[in-house]
Order: sequence, then structure tokens, then C-alpha cells
Amino acid sequence: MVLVLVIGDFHIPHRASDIPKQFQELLVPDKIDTILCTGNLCCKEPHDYLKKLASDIHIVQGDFDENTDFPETKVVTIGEFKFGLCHGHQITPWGDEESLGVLQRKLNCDVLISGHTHQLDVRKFDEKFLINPGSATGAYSGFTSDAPPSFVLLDIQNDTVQAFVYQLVDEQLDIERIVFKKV
Amino acid sequence: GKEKPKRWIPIERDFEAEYKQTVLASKRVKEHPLRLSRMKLYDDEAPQQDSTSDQQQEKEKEAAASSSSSSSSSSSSLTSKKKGKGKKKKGGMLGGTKMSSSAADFDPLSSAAGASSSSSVIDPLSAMKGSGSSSSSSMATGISGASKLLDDDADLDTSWTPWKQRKLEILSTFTTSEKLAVNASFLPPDEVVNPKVSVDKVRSRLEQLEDKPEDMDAKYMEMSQKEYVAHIEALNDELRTAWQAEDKVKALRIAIQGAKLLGSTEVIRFYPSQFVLLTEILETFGSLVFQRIKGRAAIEDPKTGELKPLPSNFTCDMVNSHAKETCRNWFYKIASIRELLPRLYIELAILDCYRFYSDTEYVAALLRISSMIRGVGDPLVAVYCRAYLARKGHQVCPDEKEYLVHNFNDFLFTLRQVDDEEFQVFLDDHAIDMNGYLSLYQPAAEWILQCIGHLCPKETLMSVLKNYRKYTRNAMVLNSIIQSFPSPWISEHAASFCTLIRDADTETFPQYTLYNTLGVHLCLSPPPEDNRLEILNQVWKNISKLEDPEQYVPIADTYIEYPLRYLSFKDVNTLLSDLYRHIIKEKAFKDYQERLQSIVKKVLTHYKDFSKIFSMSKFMTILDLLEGDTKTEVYKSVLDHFGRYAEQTFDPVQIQAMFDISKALHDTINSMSFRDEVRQIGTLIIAFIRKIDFGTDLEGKLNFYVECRHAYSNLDAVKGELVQGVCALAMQAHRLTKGKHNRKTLNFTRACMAYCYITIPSIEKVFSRLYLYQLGAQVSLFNMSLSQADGFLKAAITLIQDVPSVLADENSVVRDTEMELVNFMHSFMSLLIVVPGHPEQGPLYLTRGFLNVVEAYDWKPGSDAKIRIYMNMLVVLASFSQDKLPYRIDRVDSNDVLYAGDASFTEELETLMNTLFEQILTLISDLGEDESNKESVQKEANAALDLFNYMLAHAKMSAPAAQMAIRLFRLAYDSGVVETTYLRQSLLYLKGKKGKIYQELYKKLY
Amino acid sequence: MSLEIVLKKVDKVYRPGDMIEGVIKVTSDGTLSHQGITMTLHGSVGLHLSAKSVGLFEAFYNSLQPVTLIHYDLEVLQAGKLPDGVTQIPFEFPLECTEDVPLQETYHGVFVNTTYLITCQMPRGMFSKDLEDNTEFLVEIPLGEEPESEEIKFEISPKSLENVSEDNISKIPDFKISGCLDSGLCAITEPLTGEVVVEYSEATIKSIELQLVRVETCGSADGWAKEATEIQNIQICDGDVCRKLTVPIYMVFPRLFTCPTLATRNYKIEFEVNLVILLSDGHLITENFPIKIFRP
Repeated sequence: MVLVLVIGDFHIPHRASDIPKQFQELLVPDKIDTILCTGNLCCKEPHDYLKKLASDIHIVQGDFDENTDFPETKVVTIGEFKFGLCHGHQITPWGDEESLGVLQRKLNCDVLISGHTHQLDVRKFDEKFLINPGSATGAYSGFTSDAPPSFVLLDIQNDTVQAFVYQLVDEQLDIERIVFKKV
Repeated sequence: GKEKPKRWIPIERDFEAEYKQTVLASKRVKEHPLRLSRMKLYDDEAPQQDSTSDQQQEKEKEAAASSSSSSSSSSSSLTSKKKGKGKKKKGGMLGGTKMSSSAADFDPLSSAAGASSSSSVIDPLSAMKGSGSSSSSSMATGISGASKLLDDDADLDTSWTPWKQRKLEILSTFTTSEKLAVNASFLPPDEVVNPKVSVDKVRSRLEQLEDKPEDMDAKYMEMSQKEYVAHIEALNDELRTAWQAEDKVKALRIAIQGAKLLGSTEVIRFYPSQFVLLTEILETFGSLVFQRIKGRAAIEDPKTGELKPLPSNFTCDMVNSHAKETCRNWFYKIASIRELLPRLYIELAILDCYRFYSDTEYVAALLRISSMIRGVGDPLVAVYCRAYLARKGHQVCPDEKEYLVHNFNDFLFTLRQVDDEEFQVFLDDHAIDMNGYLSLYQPAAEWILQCIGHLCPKETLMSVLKNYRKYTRNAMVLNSIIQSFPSPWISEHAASFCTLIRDADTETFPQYTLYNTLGVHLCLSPPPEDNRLEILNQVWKNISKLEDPEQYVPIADTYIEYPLRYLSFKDVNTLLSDLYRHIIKEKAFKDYQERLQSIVKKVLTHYKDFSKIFSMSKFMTILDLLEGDTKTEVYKSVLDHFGRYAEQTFDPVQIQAMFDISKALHDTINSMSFRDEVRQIGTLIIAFIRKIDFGTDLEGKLNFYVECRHAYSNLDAVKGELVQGVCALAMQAHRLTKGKHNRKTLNFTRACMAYCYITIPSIEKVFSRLYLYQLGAQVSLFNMSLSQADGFLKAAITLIQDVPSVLADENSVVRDTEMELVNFMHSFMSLLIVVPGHPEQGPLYLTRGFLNVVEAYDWKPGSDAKIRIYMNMLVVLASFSQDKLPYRIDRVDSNDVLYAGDASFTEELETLMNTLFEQILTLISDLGEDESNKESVQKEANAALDLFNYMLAHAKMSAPAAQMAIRLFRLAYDSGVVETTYLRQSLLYLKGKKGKIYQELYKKLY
Repeated sequence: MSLEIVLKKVDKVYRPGDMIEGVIKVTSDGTLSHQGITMTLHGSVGLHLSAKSVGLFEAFYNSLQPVTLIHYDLEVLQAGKLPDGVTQIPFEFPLECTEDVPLQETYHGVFVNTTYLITCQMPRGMFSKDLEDNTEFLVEIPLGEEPESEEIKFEISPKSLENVSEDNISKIPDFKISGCLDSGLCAITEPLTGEVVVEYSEATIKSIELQLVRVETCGSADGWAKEATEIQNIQICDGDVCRKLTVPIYMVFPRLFTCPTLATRNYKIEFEVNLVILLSDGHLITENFPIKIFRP
């Protein structure tokens, strides 16, 4: 069992002051194996926080990241899965599955993770998977002023992924599960 | 043209339907990985409790859902906000209690998880607290003076200043410009071998002795201090050389001569340094003798016959009789040294050799030598001899205190010599006054007392004090006593020490120094709780009288910690106010900048609460006295402190104070400033700005941002922060009105956007500007300020032209901007999709402008940037062709609504798309023109496959399109430079597409 | 090729009744033929008058023959060969009287010398060099029972001085120095101890010293010769010592130059101590204390 945290779009401090307490209680060290982060941390603090949770962290560059050393895209292999990672502001139109599909093919990954839209979803497109963990802080985006804070946790066992979707709706934690298998 | 077949016809899409089709269904769950591991931690503790809290949560959720649904119908933003806040509080409390209970229930065995639960909360404050307290506790174990704290690399034992360090202090303190007399040959007539002189000749021998000074004078040379030091070093070498040459008699003679010179107080101001230098020779001698005997004492292995050195912790029964005999002979030899001082010093120098024949000899020897020092007539010479005794004694038996107290008492007793009227004659002879003379005693007295005080039982302090009272009231001695014992004891008896200080004879030693020494202890270790204020008053009554800031300020620097630690901030303020009174006169503060810095830093270290800090009126007054670099440094500390520890605040006093401080810091920046300095100040000011919380007073906050822009106009980073902050403000207004702006809030958001629009151009970093323009446009759109959005977008398009092809970053590393620029453009295009067209200039007004800029931009030769941008533009235009755009903004009508069914718009799109498509093809083939250029060929092939993919994803597959697609794929495939995975993935995608034409295409390509 | 006498005791100090043990260590490259090894142990008291005494006491000068205290001859090995390398031949002598006179302590004085010597000889025939070695050992004669000690108190002032006339007393700056010797009977192995206090002194004190003097008397019915020698002088106080402060007297008896006080038929060895106070105006004050030294 490998636990992969998929998280991003913190926008701290410009659009949110901190990661919600409810998430901080859940996300504690020594639980998570790998972190895939869609970027837009925007300052040091969330990065330091992630570093405490796991040592294996992969982050890509967001449009408002202070740190400009993160790569544009990244491919990470975990178990039987290849994960592609991209912030998503470069995708036209933002969040479009066909456009994401092109990138997925280029990166040759099984799961493409992107953010930027602050809209949480897990999709199956062309026998591949697209995951957007939304914004961990519920920061505003170009389309919404009150996105619910969210992140995704992947429990990977062999060819099966259990994706747990954590969302704060009206301050209440809502957890849903999606199971998919590698095609 | 129109003659060419249309090869790019956008596929019709229904984004909502697609989403519904592809999104994976989810199930609400209770069990999840993060929860499971929590369960593990306390499942045998109280699983029931957990389930109840879960039920509670469920209930709350229902309640929350119902309340939110009811409030959504309510139009009053105010009440809904209140409710929201109430809920938040409730949720927070719940979370809080849960957190603490889980933390308390953690099994210590699962310590990793236990520790993590506390560290998981980002709390730089508590982290700092931890390190802060640990450093202060280490300070508490120390006893005297800041110099000790500075010496980190020395022992870990902070209550002990090693001789090595004292030595340097003495050498730098006691210097002279006078000439020093040294025996030229340094080897006087035989002193060691027993003279056999007839008794009848005693008189003549003594006469001879008397004549000696005269005699010696002839042999003595005059030396400067520097020459003297060199001379002593040379002697030290000579001693080693003699020893190595087995000339032990000569070595001993040199050591004796060195000890003899310790009796000379001719250049009295130099005496302490003279002591330091000459005892080096003795140390050399002592260690040579010790090593020699130890060598003799090597243990022979009975089997192998090999010699093993004596272990360092040897006892005398391990020493062979041969070594013992050698050792005894040394002591016999030394016992016969005629003159008293060399006899004492040499025995002390080889004191550790007693170990070879007795495990218990030290104490008796030390007591005896201590008594014998009474025979040394010159009190200065005697006290240094006592210091050497303490030094050697502490080396061999640090826990033994009796002989030291005895030693110290003798010193106290002999102080009466100095009080003798005739002693003044001696001082006059040496042209030194009593203050100066007694200051010569200080290093010796301090050293002796340090040896006594080091890890001693408390009775030792009591005994020392008893004897002090009995023999003297000398302030210098009292100072050394206070300095040398552990702070807790001194503080415990603070009141008695105040009395002792009051009664001390301070004619020759300043009382304020005593108070300062006492203060160091008081600040390290708390005095009894019930008379803390009383003690400070008693001390300060005397200190406040000091008019000379040279005397006053260092003490204030010491004592500021006292009220900080034990009393209220009002008392701190009182002390600061007294300080102010002392340093304002004749602008004395100009000379005490470092002290003021230290005082301010101490205040900051103790108070995290800025409301407290600013309630001390004198704190700001003191800050105002700082100048130059000190001011900059202190202001940085204050700001840093504020950024770290201050709560979110709207307190106008704090804001104003911090604002001014930030402004002053900002104003220190000029073109000469270092980059790091600029970055540091920028970061500090940003941290300050982030702490300011106007709550729902959005206008107040905007005004604050306006002031900030004026104040911090030189800092790029701050301006970026301000724009982000103001955008967030506008979004906050949006949230508060739930997107339904009234005129007032609309005006407010427009004011926000105007602010951004004015501010962004002054930011230096071009990409920051671009993204901020884009952000401004988005926020404007969101808040229904279309013309403002237009302004931002135009500004961005205009700015694109000015993006240089290379940029130097902060470290002057030059980088290519193409990739960054293309990324921005892609993002920008995604935004363009949702931007409504211009009422007069048409739906594609901005798009065309953007394309013109792309066309006109001076792309590098061989760049594929334009291809990639055009391909994305095809997707933008394809989106425009849809009945419904992929996304929309609430209350904003985009082109899909504005131009729905507009034939000319559709035609314009078609024309534009095909023009672009043809242009892309041309650009791709241009890349492949030079076949020898591998990089270019690779770009061509990749672009071809990209376009192939774009066609599959976004265009209808007509016959001409299919033909084109085949050509593109073949081009990529035949080139042999495209990733095969990409080729395969592309084919797989094609295979999965529904429709006959796709399947045929697949067959052709497969 | 060498021969060496190695005593078992490193300090080579023996008391009557002790066994003097050791080995003869012969080191050789190849076999070594010899004509036998012999040893001699010899102890004697030699009396020597100093040059200036000779003329005066010519008569008994001749009569002063060395007195043998102990003498042994020993044949260690008969003529033969020693093997290659190191050969160790152990030996032992009991330290006991062999003559009519009792054993005396080892002592090196002006008139009197008491020495104990072991010699070893190995003759090797005509063409080879003889090998030999000798070594001195020390003899200590304990007193047996310890005498009772008695403190010697003193107080020195201008009035107490012997060689000052009444008229001159006023010319001497006033002073009072008191103190004591812990005992006039001193164990040779222990330091001479006591104390001295300068109660007051008008004049500046330059130095206070302790002088150990040995007096040898030697002679017979024909006459006596006496020789006093300062064998040690150590400073107790250096400079103008603090008044009313008790300064210890502490003097270790020098080895070889001291021995237990001794009186025999034709010679005596005695000791005395002088406390010498030197004032900076040039006055010299001496207080004399005869002491008896014994070996515990």
C-alpha cells in the first residue's frame, strides 16, 4: 500500500492565510509516502509543511510561485502507475480534457494530475485518468470566489487506485472515494 | 484562401455532457487512510467516544446544510456572514478539542506520530519558543558576564572560564609602554647545587647577596613590552631545547629564573601580564618533568616485554619504584631552592607529579604551600602566587575547596598591608594610584574566586562571605566574590548582597560595577519572589544617581532584563524612561547606539505581544534615538519580530509604528544597496503588511495599501504583494456580497482595480507584471468591471512586445525567456476564451491584437514558439465556435452569449482558423527546411505530431483533414526523432475514437 | 661485552638485617671465557681532615685510620666459560656487623665519610681486559624508638640580642619577632617545621632565612678538629612580610648532607639551625637553635 497525497493551489498568503485546521489534523507526518503537488504554493510555509509530511515530494511550477526552480511538468512512477504532473495554467482551455489528453499522451502517463482551476475532479478520459485536487485552501480562482478547500489521497495497491477525495463543505469534512484500475 | 479545402473545422463539443461522461462517480465514506491510522493510535482507548463524536459531526453537518440553504435565500449579506462566522467558530472549537484529546491519548511508543501531531501545525512561534527557552536555560547555568557567553567554542561548562581565555584578557588589559628589565644572560650563579660555605662566611655571603641588585643591574637589559614577550618566548624555547639535550639542570635554572622574575614589580602596571608570560615557562617546565617521569613509569608487559604508557587516570600503585624515586628526587631538589618565590612556584609547577608516589598528597601540599605564600612580602606578588596555586590546584583536584578558602583568607588578611599609610610611598614610587594598583589584583582575585566558586557546595560561599566581612570591605574583592558564585545563590541572597554593596569600601572601586555584577546574576536566576521590586528599587536608587552615561548605560543594559523577566511592562517602561533621561542629555545616545540596540533586542526577546511593547511609551522613544546602521539593524529586528510573533492586528498605534519603521527601512535602500539587503527588507515589510487585518473594513485596508504603495515604492516585491492584496480585497468584497455588488461595493472594487492598474507598471519584473495584469483582468471580470478588465488585457498584450528574449535573474544568470513567455501566452489565451468581445471593435478584437503581437514578436530563428501559440489559438477559436464556452464567469456574458448565431462571427472564426492552420503548416515545414539542423528537424517532427494530436482532439476529421493528418503523422514517424511512446499513445488515442473515419485513419497509420 | 651489578632495590637503601640482593649481569657476543668471578662488599668510615687542619694536628692525622664496618669476599664463579648473550648471576649479602664496631649511616661530610661499596671483578687472563663494576649502596640506621618532641619557642627583640651593648640598643630599629620550632628533635625523613610571626618591625624586612649548619668534630686524645658547614639556606620570608601573620617554617633535610646526629669515640656530627633576619637597613639578626636529628 502506497499513500500518495495530491494537493496544490495553496495561494498562501495572498488568497488564504493557512491550510484549514481540519486538513492539518489529518495531514500529519509518517502517514504519507509521496506528495504530488500541483504548484502555486506561493510562499515558503506550505512548502515547509509538505516537507514535514513526507520526504518524497514532487512539485511543479504554478503561475504565482515565488520559487521558480520547480519544473513545468514532471513524471513520477509509483508502483504500476506513471503519474504526469502539471500546474495547468498552460493548458488551453483551462482544465479541458481533450487538451489535457494531448499532454497525457506526450508525457506517456497513466494518470495526469493538474490544478489551476481550483475545481476538484477525478475523471477517466480515453482509458487514462485525470485528477485535479482543487485548492487545498479554497482560494479564489478566475471562476470562483469560494471554492471548497480540497485535496486527494491515492491509496495505490498493484493496479488499483483508491482515490479519497477530501473536501471541506461549509467547514465540514466530506470524504468520498473513487476506485479505478489501470487499463 | 477560399479555394483551399478547409482542413481545420472545429469539432462540436458539449463540455457539460463530456464532463458528466468522464467524471468518475464517488461514494461518501467514513473509512479512509488518514483516519485509519488515527484510529490505530487510540482504538483501544475510546472507540466509542470517537463514534459519538462522529455522530455529532453528522448532526452538525445536517444542521449546517439546513442553515446554509435557508440563509442562501436571505439577501442580507450581513446576517449570512454572521452566521458563517458563528459556524466557523463552532467548527473550530470542535476541531480544537479533538486535536488536544488525540494528542493527549498518544501512546508514547508511537512517538513519531505523537511528535508529529504537534509539529504538524505550522507554528513558527512555538518552534521559536522552544529554542528560545533552551538557550535561556543554558544561560542560567552560566554565572558571570557576557564574555563567557561569547566563548562558545570553549568548554561546554559555561560556569568556567578557562585560563586560556583569561590569559588573553589579561594580556590585552595590562600593557605598558615602560621599559622592562630582564636579566641578559638569564642564568645567574648556581642556585641549585648546595653551596658548601663555612659558617664564618655567612655574613659575607649575605653581604654578597645584598650586593646582588647592583650586580644584577649590570646584567639586566631594558626591553619594550614587545621585546619582553619575544624574550619570554625565546626562553621557553631555550628551556625545551635544554631539556631535550638532557640538560635538566639548565632547564631547571631557566624555570627558577622565570619564577624569580615574578618577584619583580618594577613595571607594576604590567605585572599581571608578566605573570601570564612567566607562568608559561613554568607550565612548560612542569609538563616536561611530568612527561619524563611518566615515561619512566611505563608499564612493562610481563609477556612481551613491551612498554605500555601509563594510563592517563593512573594511580600511584601503578607506578614503578624507579619512577617514584625520580619523582622524589625532583621534589628534594626543589625543596632546597634557596629563594622563597622560585621554590613555591617550581613546586606548584610540578605539583601534579605528586601523583606518582601518592594519591592523597595534593591537599596537604596545597595547604602547606598556601601557608608558605604568607612569607611573600609584596602583596601583589603574593596574590598572583595564590592565583597560580589555585590554577594548579584546580587542575589536580577541582573539588577540593578547603585549601582555596584558606588561600583566599590569607589574601584577605594581607590586604591590610595596602591600607598601611606607608604603602602610599610604595605607590608613589611606582607612580600609580590606589585604584590603578588595586585593579592589578583583580584578575588574580577573580581567578582564585572562580576556582572556589566552581561547582562548590553552598557552604563555601557562606564561608567566603564570613571571612570577607571579617577582614575587609574591599569593593573589588566583593565584586569578584559576587561574580564567581552560581547565580541562584547570589539571587537568593540578593538583599544581603545589596547591603554588602552599600557598605563596601568603594573609594577604590566603583559601586556601580558591583551593582552591574549583581545584575548579571539577578537576570540569570530569579531573586525571591516577594521582594523583587524592592531589590530593583534599592539598586536603581543608586544607579539612577549616576550622571555619566559611560557608567550608567551598561548597567541599564544589564538590568533591563530584570523587569522584563520578573516585573510588569510598566516597570520596564519606567526603566526605559530613566534610561531616556540619562542619554538625552548632550545627545549622549549618539555614543551608545550598540547598547541601545542590545536593550531593544532584549525587550523584543521577552515580549512577543506587540500590544504590550507599544503600550510602553518609552520604547518608541528609545527607538527614535537610534541612528545609522544600528537603526537599520534594530528596525529589522523589530519588524522581523513583528512578522514572526505579532497577532493579526488592526490596532492603529501598532500599525502606525510598524509603518514608520518599515518606511524608515525602505528609505535606507538606494541604488548602492546589496541585493540581499533589498530582498531582506522587502520580505520584512511584506511580513508586516500581511499581519495587518482590517476585518470587514475593506476600505480601511485599501487606504492602508495606498499608503504602503507611497511608502514602499522602491521595493518590487512589496508592490507585487500590494497588488495581490488588493485583488484579494476585491474578491473579499465579491464574497461578502455573494457576487451581487451594490453601487458602493462596485465602486470599491473598481477603486481596487484602478489601484492595481496604476501599481503594476511600476513593478520591475516583466513576468510579474504580465501575470498580475492577467490577475487584474480576471478579478475585474469577476466583479463585472468589463472596461477595466479590458484595460488590463490590453496592457498585457502591449507588454508582451517588450518582453526581452533573455533576462538576467537576481544572481545575474542570464536565461532564455521564450518558454516562460509561451507559457504565459497559453494561460492568457485560456483567459481570452471567456473575455467578452468589444462592443464596437467586435468579438475578436483582443484576439486579433494578441495575434498581431505574436506575429510581430521577434522570435528567435528556428523557434517553434509561434507554432505552439498558433496551435493553442486554434483551440481558443474552436472554443469560440461552440454553442457554449467551456467555462463562464457568473454574471458575465461572454462571446457565446453575445454573439450566439452571429453568422459573420462564425465566418470570421472559420477564416481565421484556416489561415492560422495553413500558417502553422508553413511554419512546420520551414523548420524542416535545413535537414542538417538536427534540433530544427526534431522540432518539426514534434510539432507535426502535436498538430496531429490537436486535430484529433479538437477538429473534425474530414477527408482533406485526414489526408493532412496522415502526412503529419508520417512526417513525425519517419523523422525517427520523436518519442515512440508519444507516437504509440497518439495511435492508441486514435484507435479509441469512435467513428468510421477514425478507424480507417488508424488502419492507414498502423 | 660488559659486566654490571644490578641491585634489586632501586633506591639502594638498606637497613641492618636487610638482605642486599642483586644480580651480576654479564653481556657478551659469543662465549666468554674467564678466570672466575669474585665480589667484595666493603663498608668503612673514613676520616679526613681538611687541608688547613693538617698542619695543626699532624700528630693525630696519622692515627686516623679508616674504620672497617663490614667486609665480605665472595667467589661467585670459578674459572670457566659463559654463554653467548646475557647471563645473570644472582647474589645476596646480609647487612650485618662483621666487625667490632656497629654499622653507621652512609654519610658524606667534610671530615667524615661513611661509604658502602660492592665491587665485582672478572679477570680474563693475559690478553683480555678484565671486566669489573662497582656500586655504592646506602645504609640507614633507625633509632629504634622515637624520642619525645619538645617545642622550642622564641621571641626576638632588640633586648634579646646577645651581642648588642646597652648603648647601642636604641640605634636598632624596634621589632618583635616570635615563633617556635615544633621540635628540637627532628626525624631526618620529616621536614623541620615551625612558625615565625613578625609582630611588629619599624624597619622594612628584607628577608628571613633559615640556615642549616652541620658541625663535625673529629679527633682523639691528641686533639680535636671542628668544622661547621652551612649545608642549606632557604628563605622563609621574602620582602617586607605582612605583620602578625604566621609564616610557616618548613625545611626538608637535604639527603647525603644530613645524617642522624652522631657521637663516637673519635668523631661527632651535630646540627644547628639559624634563623637569620635581614633588615633592609643592613642589620642582620641571627637566632641559633641546636637540633638533634634522628632516623626513625
